Amino acid sequence: MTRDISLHAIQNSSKHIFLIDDDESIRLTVKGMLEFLGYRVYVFESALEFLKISIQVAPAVIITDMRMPDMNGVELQSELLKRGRKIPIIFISGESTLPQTISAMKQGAIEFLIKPFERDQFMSAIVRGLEQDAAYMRSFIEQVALEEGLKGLAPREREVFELLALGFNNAQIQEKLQIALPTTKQYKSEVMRKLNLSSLAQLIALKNGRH
Amino acid sequence: MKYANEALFLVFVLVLIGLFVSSIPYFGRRTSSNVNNYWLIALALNIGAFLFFASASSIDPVLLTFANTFFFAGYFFLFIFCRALNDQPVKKIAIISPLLFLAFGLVFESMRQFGVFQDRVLFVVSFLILCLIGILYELFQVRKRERYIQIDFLIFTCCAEIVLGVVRIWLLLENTAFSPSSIYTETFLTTLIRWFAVAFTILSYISINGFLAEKLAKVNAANLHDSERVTKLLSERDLMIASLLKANKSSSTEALSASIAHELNQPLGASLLNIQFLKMLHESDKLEPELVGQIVGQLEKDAKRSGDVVQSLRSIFIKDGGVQEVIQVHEIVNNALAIYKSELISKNIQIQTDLNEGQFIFCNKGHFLQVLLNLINNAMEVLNSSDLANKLISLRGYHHAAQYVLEISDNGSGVPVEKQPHLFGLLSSDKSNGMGVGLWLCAYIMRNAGGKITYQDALGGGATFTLSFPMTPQN
Repeated sequence: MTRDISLHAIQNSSKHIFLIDDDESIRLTVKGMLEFLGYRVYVFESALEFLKISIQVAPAVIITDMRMPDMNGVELQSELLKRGRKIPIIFISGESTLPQTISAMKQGAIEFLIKPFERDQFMSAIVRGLEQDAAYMRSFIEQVALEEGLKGLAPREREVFELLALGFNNAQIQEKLQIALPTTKQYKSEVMRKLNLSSLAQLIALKNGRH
Repeated sequence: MKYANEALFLVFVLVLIGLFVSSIPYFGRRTSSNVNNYWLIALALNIGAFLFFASASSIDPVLLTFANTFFFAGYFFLFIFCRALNDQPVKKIAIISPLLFLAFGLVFESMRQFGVFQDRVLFVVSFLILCLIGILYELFQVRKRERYIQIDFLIFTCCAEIVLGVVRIWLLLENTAFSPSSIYTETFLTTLIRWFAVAFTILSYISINGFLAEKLAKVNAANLHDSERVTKLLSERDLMIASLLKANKSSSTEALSASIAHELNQPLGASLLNIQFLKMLHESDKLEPELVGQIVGQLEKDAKRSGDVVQSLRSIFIKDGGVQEVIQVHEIVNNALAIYKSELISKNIQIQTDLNEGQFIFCNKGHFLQVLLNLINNAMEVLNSSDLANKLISLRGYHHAAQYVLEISDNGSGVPVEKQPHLFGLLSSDKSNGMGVGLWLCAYIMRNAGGKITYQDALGGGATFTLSFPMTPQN
């Protein structure tokens, strides 16, 4: 990561980091370093200020201080979960209590770093956070595509899809739906075509990705 | 042998004067003890009596009346003294005694004019024996409580005086053939007995002197013992206060540690990142002067900031001898607020200060900081447990009369009226985690600085603690 920074910088230019800390030193330092590495960095002095904006970009990660005026890190995390946009959160704190750490991790924090922390730890947490968000966004987009595709299925095709997703084979579907085998095969190929799928495994993965 | 009687009386006068003078430093000044004064009065009366006896023959026989009256009065006061030794009320007797002496003198004078010597002796010696019996009674009471060799000796001399008095009367009454006109012309035997009686009187005085001296020594020893005990207790108390100061320090330290860690870790965390950033730039040969300058500037700022935090903490932990110094109030207030900065932020408490630079007080820096930390900490705890939207702690400093006043107020729930009287008492806390020493220590520190701390309800609810400092140094 250190040898060819400029290459990373280009790759990182579409990765977004939201930094929330009431301490100016930390804001300046983290922003300076991450921007140098090419990330898009947005800084906020407080959680409330951050909550005013709506995040339309991805992949993104939130770096937040734990101890802040008005609203602390865990409260911010809860608020974000309530609003539904799951952005990975990295906590950095000058000091923390164990209960805070536990509830932060329970609510799905990527990492909980105590200041002063190592740059490598910090960077790896950011990379993990961004990967998680990217994966989340991918599956989100797939889900949206699936929803759209499912709308184009006929009722019988929809039933076949649900059974395929549960791992039923052709004979079992024929039995279950009381239809002829050729009809079953035709429904199946229609489902695969309409949903733009090439294998059953893909279908099952897509279906289960919803949960 | 003409003036033998007079000469002997004078000798006794000199002995008694010597006793009197030597006793004054022991007892005379101890105004708290009236007992000793009765003895001194008795002694003085006896000196007077002997002086009159010594001079009556050459000046005027009427002085004999005075001599006998004083002699009797001396015994009477000796009785009062012994009674006082037993803690009996004697003041009334002492006050009305002059009337008794006047009556005694008038009777004696008429007997001297119209009566015979034997009757006078009978009259005087009877009264003396009455006094002696009274004295003996009181002495036996004393003896029941405490044993002094002097008291035993005194009992012996009194008995001897009674016996000699009786023998003298018996001899005088028996020997009707010779009737002397006055004491100066008594027979040799009765004179001898009289002199023995008088010698015993003097011995009584000497033994009382010894008794009182020993008692005084005992009291002194007890006082010495007491004062040693009190000294020990005082030093124990000082130790306890010192350890309370320390305990309070460490308990506030515990409360502070979160804040301190946070305050220190902010600049340290930033610095570590910046150093690693520099290292990264260095390794990749991207050391652009502008960027490096920024990073170094940031590093410098953070290093200074860490230094400031440590500086403000130093005064709490520094070992101090409680020395007073000139303190800039706003500086220490800022120190205290800096220490609690992140606590105040995380508890969402606003601070409002109304202090002017250049306002100073005389106090020990560490102690003053402890008072501030205690009061701010209390205010923070109260505010933290309230649901107020705008939690506020305000500090206001101003000069009033010859004092500097610092008010620390919060808009919390204040102190309930029933708790207010004992607010500054030791171990009077109702906080579950408090030892109840915080406010007591504040009061102690303020008293030591020659100032004080008071509580009143703040306008519109909440608590106001008022610290007032004298404008001149205290020692």
